[in-house]
Amino acid sequence: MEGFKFKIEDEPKKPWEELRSKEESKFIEKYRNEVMLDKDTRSNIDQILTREAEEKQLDFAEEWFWKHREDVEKMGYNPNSKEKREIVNIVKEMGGFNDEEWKNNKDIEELYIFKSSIAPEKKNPLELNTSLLILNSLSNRVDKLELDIALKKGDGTSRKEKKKELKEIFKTQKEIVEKISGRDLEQESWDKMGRGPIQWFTTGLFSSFIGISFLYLEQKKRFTPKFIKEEIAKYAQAPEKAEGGIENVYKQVAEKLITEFITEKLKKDEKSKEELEAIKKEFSGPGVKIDNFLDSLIHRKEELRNLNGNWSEDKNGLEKFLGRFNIPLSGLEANDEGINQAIKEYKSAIKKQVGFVKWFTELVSRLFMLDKKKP
Amino acid sequence: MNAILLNNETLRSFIELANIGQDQKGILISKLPQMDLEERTELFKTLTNIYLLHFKKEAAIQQLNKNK
Repeated sequence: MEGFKFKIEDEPKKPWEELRSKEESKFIEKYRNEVMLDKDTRSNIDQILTREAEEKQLDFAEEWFWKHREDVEKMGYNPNSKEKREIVNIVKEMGGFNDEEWKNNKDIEELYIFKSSIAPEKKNPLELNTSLLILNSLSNRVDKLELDIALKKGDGTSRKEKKKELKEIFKTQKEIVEKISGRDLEQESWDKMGRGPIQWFTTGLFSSFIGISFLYLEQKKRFTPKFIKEEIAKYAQAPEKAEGGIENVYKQVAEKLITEFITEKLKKDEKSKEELEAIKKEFSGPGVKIDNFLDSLIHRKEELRNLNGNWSEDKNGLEKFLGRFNIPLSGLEANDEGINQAIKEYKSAIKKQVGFVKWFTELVSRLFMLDKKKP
Repeated sequence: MNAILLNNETLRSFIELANIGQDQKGILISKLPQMDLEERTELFKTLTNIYLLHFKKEAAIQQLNKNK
């Protein structure tokens, strides 16, 4: 398979490569025009799926790397290597990609299905259901990119490049959806919203199409164009059905963040009895209602009501808010580079909703760590 | 300073709040009592990010319902 940097040797024939049933062949013949995609879209999909496969390869390599840390260290490799692609090569050398876990990886299997169904024009047209599977895979990629942009993930690609890929994916998704539904999304977008479909990333109607693909994965039905048109009409009226898919995606992302914390941030060495005693002493006692804390931050409640972006004016409000949690803002008088930077960034952070919470969390974390360094 | 935001009770309720599976919650809660200040700070940041994700998701679903 072109595009995959790593090749699995001598795979047995996969089910989807076997002969199609008579009915499926008839179906393809009848609906080939509805399901064929043009050359640019196919090339786009190919690139996107390759990128996604590389990401999965990298995710697998990182997990394997940490699971087999002792063996990795014996071979003289440094587990703290920042070079991510290097980790993939190391894991390849150590045979990680020959493991059952990689070979039976369901996500990779799906990607193989998608790639094998991107066929040259006029020979083997795409099945309707694989169009939906591709749509689903592209949505996963969109979620990942949006998260990476929001978390400012440093992985070698710039924010600009990530945004560019999002645009390409959107273009591809739009074409697939138009082919399946027969609707002109551009025209509808202008008619309904007075603007072009580039905004459709987050609108309900587009999410409805994606919701159908999630439904497909659950029920594994074979769609006909008529069925699709009926389902789309249903989702336009009841978009909460699309929600189940969206819920799942966000949950998966959250769980990945926790996995990263457990594997990368939790210290692996055992703590001494004295250290554990000190920890117990410092961190017991009554807690605070964390949802109130976050709610006040997100919706700028109570002491954070009147923040306006001017640091010297706003300092009081922030100090009062922090005072409730026994965090003295006077820590800022210490000449700490991180905190000075935070103050510089305050003016632009205050303009954002989610961004402000992140800024605040960083500031508070720095204050905690600064306090620890005090004699 | 009394790191009340990072103590066991606060972090335990923060973990319960997160939109993750029960098994991950169990792992975090069992490891919590041994976590030192650095680990707790990182956990706090991670849980905040997850909370913000949840907030973003709710906003997306609301947008979905607006376009009914």
